[in-house]
Amino acid sequence: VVPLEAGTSPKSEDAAIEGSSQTPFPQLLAEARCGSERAWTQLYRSLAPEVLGFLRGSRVPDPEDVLGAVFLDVARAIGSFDGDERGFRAWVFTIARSRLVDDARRRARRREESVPPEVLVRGGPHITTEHEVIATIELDRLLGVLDTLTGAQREVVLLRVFGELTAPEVARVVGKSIGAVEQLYHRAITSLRRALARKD
Amino acid sequence: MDGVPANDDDREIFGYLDALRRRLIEAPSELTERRHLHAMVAEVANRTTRRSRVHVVGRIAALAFAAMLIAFNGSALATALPSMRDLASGIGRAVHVVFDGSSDQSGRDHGQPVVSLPQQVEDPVAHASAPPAVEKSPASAPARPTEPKVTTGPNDAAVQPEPDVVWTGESCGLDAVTLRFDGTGDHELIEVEGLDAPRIDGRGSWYRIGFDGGSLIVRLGDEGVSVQPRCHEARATDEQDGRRRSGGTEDGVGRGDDWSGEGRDADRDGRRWDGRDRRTDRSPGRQSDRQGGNR
Repeated sequence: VVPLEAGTSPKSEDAAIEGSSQTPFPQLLAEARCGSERAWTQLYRSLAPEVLGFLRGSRVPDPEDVLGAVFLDVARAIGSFDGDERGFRAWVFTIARSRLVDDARRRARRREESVPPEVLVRGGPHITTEHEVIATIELDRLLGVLDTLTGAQREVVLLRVFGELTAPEVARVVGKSIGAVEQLYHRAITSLRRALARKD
Repeated sequence: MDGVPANDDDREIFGYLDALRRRLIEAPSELTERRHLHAMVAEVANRTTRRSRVHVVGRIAALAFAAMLIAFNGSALATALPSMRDLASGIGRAVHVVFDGSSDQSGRDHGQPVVSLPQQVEDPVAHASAPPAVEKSPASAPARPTEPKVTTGPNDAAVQPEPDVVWTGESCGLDAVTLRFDGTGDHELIEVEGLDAPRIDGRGSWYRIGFDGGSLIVRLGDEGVSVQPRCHEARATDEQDGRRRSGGTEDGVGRGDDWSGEGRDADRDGRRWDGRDRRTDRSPGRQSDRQGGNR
């Protein structure tokens, strides 16, 4: 099981920002602050897939929308960020979590559901390939297991799995103590174990 | 994910989390990435421009202050002149920075800095009235089941184009359609039929078209336009703040809050303003429905 000891990280710090071996992180940060597209591309590519995974795992209906909002916030606040690569990763996931909460509140006020245009266009049927159907079923199965967790447990697991954050980092992101985060994580693992056993 | 599974249970969890990670982590499409990057770079450039403007104002204020000092003390002129030269040259540089960024490459004056991208995309910040927008919807990327899209083909401007998209909203109570433009076309929403006065909100590449059911025919501009229709559930909401009123039912019967203001004209010790004990007042409309308080 993914270990959650305080201060340990499953990901090498050197690889925290992809491509940082080419450009040192402080320099990358300085270039991004000056509006360098190259620097932003590097930062975006290193974190966007994982942030997107975190949002998808949280069942955001339109994850790419929220992803765009997250990185726009990052661009707005990059001047105020102070820290290293690991800190930057945790900071981006903190913003992602905030946008997630904002999105949930907004959707609670105004319900909105994306509908496949194939369904709407002239009332035609939505034709999907066999591969798409299998992929959708597989994703539903994976997320269905995750649905057995409480909101807080799910959040901690997703931050751990997708953000690859350490316990103290997760604690800072969710605003809880390290002990509480560790407890949530272990309870989540227990619940997942039970859910997987039931599925079998 | 590191960690060595210790037993079968752990192995199962490890496998599950690994599968979850592999299945959900996916790079955004190329066009989505380009649009996000454009927005980010533009945002940083805007902030830099704003800072430059503040810088200019500060320098002008410093210059005015220096002039005032000179006016009051002529002997300071000799020492002040070099500083004034510095200030003036500084202003020149700052103004140059500000006004260099005042128009984009297409010649339109947006008051925004130039942002160089492989393909010029309409600046989303240029449109003031806007719902929150994040640009997306690649036209050339393969559509995923979770992100449905319709991609329209190119239209010849000289020929009246066929409707690109026709929506019928009866099936889901559709009352709005969201259109997004991927930045490769001319971003023009040409025509919306089926509406006397289409309610179109949006900025840049993101439009929401209000729609009262029935059929909606949309003619879109150049190639590379993606659309993402959405159902917007109609709910009973307060027109003022967009939130459902708390308490009670939607028809106003038995609601928990007294909106009329009646029954609130008693003071804190249970006396009405006219001196009568409100607890003895049983006349209809003179008592609030808050239990234990105003009755």
